[in-house]
Amino acid sequence: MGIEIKNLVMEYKKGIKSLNHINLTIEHGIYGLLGENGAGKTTLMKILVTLLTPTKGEVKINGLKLEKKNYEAIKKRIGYLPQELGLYPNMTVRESLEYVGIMCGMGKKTYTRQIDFYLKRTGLLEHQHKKNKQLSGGMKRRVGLVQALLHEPNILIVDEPTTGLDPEERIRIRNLLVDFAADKIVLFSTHVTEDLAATCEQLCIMRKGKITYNGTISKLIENAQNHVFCCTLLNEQEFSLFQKKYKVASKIYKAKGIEVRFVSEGIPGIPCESCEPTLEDAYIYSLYAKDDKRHS
Amino acid sequence: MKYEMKIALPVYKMVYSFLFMGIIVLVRPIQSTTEIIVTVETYIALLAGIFLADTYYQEFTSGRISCYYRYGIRKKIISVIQRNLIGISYLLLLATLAYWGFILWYHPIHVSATPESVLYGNVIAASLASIIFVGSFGFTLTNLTQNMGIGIGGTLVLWLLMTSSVMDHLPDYFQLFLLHSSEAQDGILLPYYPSRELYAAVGIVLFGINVFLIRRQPKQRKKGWKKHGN
Repeated sequence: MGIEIKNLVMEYKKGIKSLNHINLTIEHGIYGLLGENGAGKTTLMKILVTLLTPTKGEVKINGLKLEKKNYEAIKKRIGYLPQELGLYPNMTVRESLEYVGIMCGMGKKTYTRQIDFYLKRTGLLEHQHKKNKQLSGGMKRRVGLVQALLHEPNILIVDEPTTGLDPEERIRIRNLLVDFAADKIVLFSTHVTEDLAATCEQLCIMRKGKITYNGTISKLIENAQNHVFCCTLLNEQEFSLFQKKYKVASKIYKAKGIEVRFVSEGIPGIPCESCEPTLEDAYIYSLYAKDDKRHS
Repeated sequence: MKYEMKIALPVYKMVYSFLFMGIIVLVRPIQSTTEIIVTVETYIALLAGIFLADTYYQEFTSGRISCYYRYGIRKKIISVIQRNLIGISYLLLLATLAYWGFILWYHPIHVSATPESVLYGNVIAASLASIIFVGSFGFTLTNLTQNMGIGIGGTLVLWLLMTSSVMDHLPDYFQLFLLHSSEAQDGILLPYYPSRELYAAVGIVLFGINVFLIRRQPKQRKKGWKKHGN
């Protein structure tokens, strides 16, 4: 059981490579996919859910090769929550889930049982007779999660499920993913590091169609050890000069000046102190340290 | 079927189609019952091309295609067939309303010995054939190009062509809206059915082609989902 990706390339008509020789193996639990906008996360997910055909490379899902003749079988094994899920506006929550059940070829008894179970688990039971157009963004995302899980897939692929949600809803969605991942593989893309820190241990960082890091979160943080620093700058002028030299992770205005948190490959030649890296610092370090090495 | 009805007949579609036929009834005065067929059939055909164009394509415009595409092909085909059947039935109901709208609004004279019910039957039968052809054309063109503008635009061009005098130069078999006049004897215009049968058959073939179009992966360039990631 798992996802095996070998040498995957996705090239568009103008020669733009959205995915550039990706190699990845996902075996169990929640796997985070982190990267800036345009990194290729959604392309990779769309390939896995058969919405796109790759230019080159091999993908195996639960041992089944990802090719046209296997698409129907693969679709049954994967649940997918796209970044922006449209729901039928004039249907109620229950109706739209029943429709998903019918379209997935499930029997009435089975889908009714599944819908009841997931509505309860996601806290949507009391909203089941509301029309989809009356739902908040978070509720829609929860309905999306239920529709992805309804046919009991082994693999769940969720594309930025927390984007645009308030903190409470984000935490709820994250917790649901953790709950539902117990016996599944969950591939979870985001550009919010907090979401990953709270949900998964395995992580893959993508940048410009390539994988720049693949491993555990703790290892990523460990890599950034002694590369994250804090210092206080006097004014904006000093800050703009500083920004040209270092990758700034955060900036806070304080009475005594501007407190800056930054990453640096070597020890900076300015008065500063080393800080304990967070996942966000480690992510920035993994992205930009390589750039710095290349440029220097 | 209950859910397909909700999907295929949203309120906005019912409102615009009802208004369209209502306006046609109001702005096309008639004097005799034989004129009804000309108006109802041609305009309901145009409406069908627009009405059925998004039966499947609405899944793209509403951002649902990523999920809908992933359902089994058999289920998708059944679902789309049901939606089209619902759409066609609704359009026939609208044709009926338009027919009786003309009767009630203008009180046209009925000079023929042919009963009005036969005339009504002819309006519905001819409308059905035209709905199938023009509707399937708009539906297929939209699905082929995965572009609603092209689908509707193409339907409009086809309809203008079909209702123009250019068609008079073609053999009777190719004139979709051709009527056979028996005015000299009875004062009634009857649809020329062989051409309608031919076009209805073409329409059914076009609907059949959509089995392959629905099977295709959605195009990447579509705004509706391209904007959500890459």
